[in-house]
Amino acid sequence: MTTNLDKDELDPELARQLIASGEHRLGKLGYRTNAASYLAWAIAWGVGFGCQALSHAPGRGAANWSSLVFFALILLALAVSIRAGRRYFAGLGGFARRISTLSAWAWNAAMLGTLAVAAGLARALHLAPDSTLQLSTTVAILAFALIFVGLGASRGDAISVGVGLAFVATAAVVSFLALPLALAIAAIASVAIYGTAALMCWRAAA
Amino acid sequence: MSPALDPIIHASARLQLMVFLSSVTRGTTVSFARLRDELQLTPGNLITHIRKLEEANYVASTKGGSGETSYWITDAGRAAFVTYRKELESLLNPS
Repeated sequence: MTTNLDKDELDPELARQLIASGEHRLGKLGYRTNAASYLAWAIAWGVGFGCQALSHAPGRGAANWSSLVFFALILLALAVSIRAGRRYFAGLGGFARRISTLSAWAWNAAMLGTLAVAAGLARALHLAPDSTLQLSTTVAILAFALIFVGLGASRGDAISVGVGLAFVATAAVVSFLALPLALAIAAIASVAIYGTAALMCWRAAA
Repeated sequence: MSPALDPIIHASARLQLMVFLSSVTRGTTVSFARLRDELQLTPGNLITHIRKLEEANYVASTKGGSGETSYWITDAGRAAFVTYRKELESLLNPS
């Protein structure tokens, strides 16, 4: 079959430019997608842990309102991540679709698992509110860190692996600190780690 | 004239199609709508160029449950694209 477009001679230099501009198109969209997600999680965890640190009362844990703010911000970050992911994966099937579905289930399982483990341990060990809060904070950070490392390694995503390893270190540090300093460090580390990842993705997408 | 270059690939729209399809992870399919949006082609133009690539066995297709057709680059297409790029580079940088 011959079309009118076939009759137009494609200049080899233009062909090279088309290859150069096209081959990174999807990769750049991926970086923009990740940048938006990292930024949303930086705000969610930074503000969330920050509110818990500020509202903390010795022996009574964090105020209920701070937990509500944290939960709302997590839902917002999830919505941003899902929207960005849907845009990236629109029209893609097969392997990419399976990986995105696996990632989504892994995140959900990590979140629910974190809550269950923290609640179960707090109940089994008869922990005080402060200890329960510290345990749930440490377990949450560690669970997400392992997911970042695992999914990042499977996709060859160095930034994701870096984020995961940084959060492993954060979880270790937070587990040794007293409240509310542990929460404050978690907030600062979250902003620093997610913020750095967002900046790296943004630069890679430029 | 550039006689050494594969004429199936060496056309603006088909070249862009090959670039995009080869940039996704192996085993990933791309829907017709996504290709149309990415390449900014009319449906008529797009299907014409895809058919030409399919006839050369560079691209294969499958129909999903929703009725939309998705495409992927075949091993033969991937190999042809690698060869095309090498020939293009040697044409632009003769040593």
